[in-house]
Amino acid sequence: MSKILRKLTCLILAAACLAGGAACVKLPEVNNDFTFDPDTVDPATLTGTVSVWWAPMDFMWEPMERAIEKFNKQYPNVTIDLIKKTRADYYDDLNLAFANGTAPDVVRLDHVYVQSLGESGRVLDLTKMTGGKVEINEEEQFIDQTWQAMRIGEHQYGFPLESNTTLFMYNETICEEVFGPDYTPPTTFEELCEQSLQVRAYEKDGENPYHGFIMPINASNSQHDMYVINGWMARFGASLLNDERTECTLNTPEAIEAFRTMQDAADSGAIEYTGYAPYLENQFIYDGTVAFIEMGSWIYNDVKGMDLNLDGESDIKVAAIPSTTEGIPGYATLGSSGLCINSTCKDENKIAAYEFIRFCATDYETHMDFAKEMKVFPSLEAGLEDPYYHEPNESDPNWVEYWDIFMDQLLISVPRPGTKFWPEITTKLKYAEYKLVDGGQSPEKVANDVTADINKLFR
Amino acid sequence: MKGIDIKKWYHKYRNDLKCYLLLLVPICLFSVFFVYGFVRGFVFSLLNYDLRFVMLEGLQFVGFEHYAEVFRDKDFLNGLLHTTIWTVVMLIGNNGFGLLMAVCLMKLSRGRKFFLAGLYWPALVSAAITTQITLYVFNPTETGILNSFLSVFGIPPKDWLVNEDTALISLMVIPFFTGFSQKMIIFYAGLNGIPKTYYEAASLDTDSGVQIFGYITWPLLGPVVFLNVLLSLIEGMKVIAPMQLITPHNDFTMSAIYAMYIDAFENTNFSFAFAEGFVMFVIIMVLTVIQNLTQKETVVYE
Amino acid sequence: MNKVKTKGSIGKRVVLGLCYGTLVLFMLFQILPFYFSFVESLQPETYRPGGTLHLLPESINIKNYLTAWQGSDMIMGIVWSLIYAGGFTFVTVIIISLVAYVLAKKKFRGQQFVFLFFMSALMVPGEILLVSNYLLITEIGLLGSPLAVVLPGLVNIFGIFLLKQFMHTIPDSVIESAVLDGAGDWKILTRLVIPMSMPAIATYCIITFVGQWNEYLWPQLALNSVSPFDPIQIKLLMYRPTINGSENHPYASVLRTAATMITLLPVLVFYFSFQKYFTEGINVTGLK
Repeated sequence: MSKILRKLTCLILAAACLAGGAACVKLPEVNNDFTFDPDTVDPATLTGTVSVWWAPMDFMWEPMERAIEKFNKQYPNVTIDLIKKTRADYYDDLNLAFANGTAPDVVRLDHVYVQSLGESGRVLDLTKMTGGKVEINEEEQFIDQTWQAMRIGEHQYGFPLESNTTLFMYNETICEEVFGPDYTPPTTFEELCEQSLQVRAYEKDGENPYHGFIMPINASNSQHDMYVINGWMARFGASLLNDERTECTLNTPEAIEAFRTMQDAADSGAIEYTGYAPYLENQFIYDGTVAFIEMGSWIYNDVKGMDLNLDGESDIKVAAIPSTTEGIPGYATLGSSGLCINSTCKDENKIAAYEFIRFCATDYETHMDFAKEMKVFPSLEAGLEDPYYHEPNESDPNWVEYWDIFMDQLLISVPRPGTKFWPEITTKLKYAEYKLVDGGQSPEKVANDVTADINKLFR
Repeated sequence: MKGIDIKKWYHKYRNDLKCYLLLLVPICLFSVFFVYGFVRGFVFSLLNYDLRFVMLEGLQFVGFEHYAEVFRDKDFLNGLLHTTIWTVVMLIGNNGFGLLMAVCLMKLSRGRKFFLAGLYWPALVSAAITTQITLYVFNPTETGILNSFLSVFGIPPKDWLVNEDTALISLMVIPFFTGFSQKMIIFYAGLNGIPKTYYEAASLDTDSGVQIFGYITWPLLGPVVFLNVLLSLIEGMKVIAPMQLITPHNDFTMSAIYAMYIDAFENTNFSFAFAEGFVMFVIIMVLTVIQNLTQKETVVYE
Repeated sequence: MNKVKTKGSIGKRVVLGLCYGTLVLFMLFQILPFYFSFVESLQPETYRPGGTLHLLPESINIKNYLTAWQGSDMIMGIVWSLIYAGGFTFVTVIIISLVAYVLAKKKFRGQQFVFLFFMSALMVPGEILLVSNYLLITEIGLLGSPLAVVLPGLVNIFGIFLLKQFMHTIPDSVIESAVLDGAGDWKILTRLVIPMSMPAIATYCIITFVGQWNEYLWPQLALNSVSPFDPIQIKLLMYRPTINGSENHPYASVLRTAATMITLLPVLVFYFSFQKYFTEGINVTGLK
């Protein structure tokens, strides 16, 4: 009897547990049908509490605090609750918090994540919420690509904040040493490869001290790889996904050509692939042993300080990215992040949240504050004319030229296609890149494998 | 009659009730934070709880679909492969060298405490610190310690943590040095527990250290070896920290639990992640049972 | 007879020499990476790594430690880590002594089942429970509170296992005589069993204290944002000094290494003070 009793109690306990467990599974409450007319909002009387997640980097806090102060002058009855996260990569935390129902109302995210969350119904569709007014009122102010980067189809999911891109950077001191004082940077990829090989072969005191062109691979910061691959594909007229974001298009002839060029350059030694982007920067900037690299404007401070031959001028110069295909410019990837509203935001706070993100993005002073602090560009078109980027800087004779060339590159930059499978796509592309460059697989095989893998996600 | 029955019943179960009463608080705490969490996770795994889809589709019951998927998932299987390699290498390495060190210690007449103290301290080092140290030593550029060391001999720098062939091994090195000391301490205690009389009796028959080890030491260490192997098995299969902190999102150092972590926290696919975790739990349980069965025969009783 | 003796003693000396040699070699291997990190932590601001192995720092800059100490707010990190580790250890000792005593020394129906119930937790990868526990903590309303950092692990299964093994070696007769004297369970536990289990408890305390000191994943989740309650490991992971606006400046790396050394120091101090409990404690846990 007792044995049966024992088994019975076990079963009953197990069933009770499962029942209890099942009862507790619930989704966070959202209301995606809320709408209002932004033209009828009165700043003086608007109320609400908006929680904002912000990154832990010191230099980012002050602009945000200034923004909140200015916002509150116009909207005195709205409370902004600024929460500083412990890690810059708080995307993981956001996911958990959302499941919990403790997600913040407003969060700043890389545009790929904004698009990804928009597709999943996790951030508010601003077009729907404002009855289409968000495009009518705001779209024109922004640089085209940055606005599109926060959008999927006819739905706008966020306001862009700052934008940036990568540029071709070269160490003038090394180049003049190797090629002579009349050196000019390469304008085509073939030239770049030739020059890179020459730099590598250059002998000094019986050693080859210099590296040519370096690109990251299997980098610890996965997004770095994606920047590179996205831009690379664009230079060949290929793209990662099709326009509808339902299929991977990496097995087109253009894409295979792109992979092939990457592999050939690696095999010939023209491009050196190294992991760990932070160390790349170190080698380029602090060791002064690397001749060519593609980098963003955010490392300006390092660039400026780099003066190993002590001639009072930075060793590093910038130039447009060399073109790889006849007729196609050297495209680079657009980097942009912006503010969006989580769909767990309560109805009574939605208008306040919208006004806050609209303010941060469209208020000229605030927007420029963020961009300048990070040494990148704004997303506001008007911001490109700001004297900051055009007036000579006493401590740096190269200042104007630096920003000029960057701006040209920015205006032709290509956003990454954000989708809800973005993290998984990133990992698969990283692996494919490695197989191509170090694993010795043929470009066709790599292209077909990675396309099949990614398409499995979209099934 | 009923009154006497209740009294009898009370006396019969009094001891049991007292015991359960004492255990009430621990059992409650444990139930809340372990059992409840486990059951809830299991319930998740039967649904379509993936934040990329569920907000638009609503919660749905999918049964054991995820469990079938686990065995077809390339990332998980890749992770399982690496986890298995890690476990086997660490098990043999940590226990082998732990035992070796313990035996060496036993041979010493002086300085045991010094070496014991000097060899054990790395076991206390945290994962965060191990990460910094590994990145420092195996830095793929010329500035890494290992590469600098090799450059003295004219060997060019190698991308240890990035390269397919060397990535996993590079991860294993520092944890190996911090890991064998744990096993060493336990083996040392075990060796200490073998009465000297056995050795004295054996030395009458033979001088060969190897024979003494094989016939006396090894069998008597049975329970200790069992404990160490069990701990190594469980720790090894659960490994995640080095992969997550040192080589994130790297297909050549993916571990099963790290694959689960990525699915849960980055891909927000909670259902699938729990299925992966549950499969790992079952695998660990099966391994434990197998080890239990095979080693029971080698334990020697006095 | 004499010949045999000298042959034996040379062989023994060789073996002894090999033993010393192996031990020293391994000690060296263990210390080496830490030594190089230590060297880096003392480098000056003008330090550039270059391609050479630095056996000694270019100059000794203790001020790196001061900068790292202040920059990462280490003092609060240490305070809170002490609170978490100390509090956690203290409370778990009470709980596991109780559970181990009941499982080892008393007999009751379902005893095996209760034991297996607890043991199964050892085999479960902790990460599965992260999501569930995170949801639970929020539902209880403790998200962001220091209590949340220590709550989930309070029933420490490893400790129960350890103490239970040890308590089996306590003779039953001692407990029986206490019962005959009229002592209740609680008295037996506190006056008799715990004092007798001190070696095992000491070992457990040290392992747990250090383990909790080294925790980073769960505290980061439970505290949810930059919190005054951050323990030292989080402060270390978050410490990203910028030199001239760049995180990748070699001197920034030097400062991070100094911070790592600071995090390591309390553990070492703790270890070497209580060292004998480690080495002798394991001895006495009856692991035969």
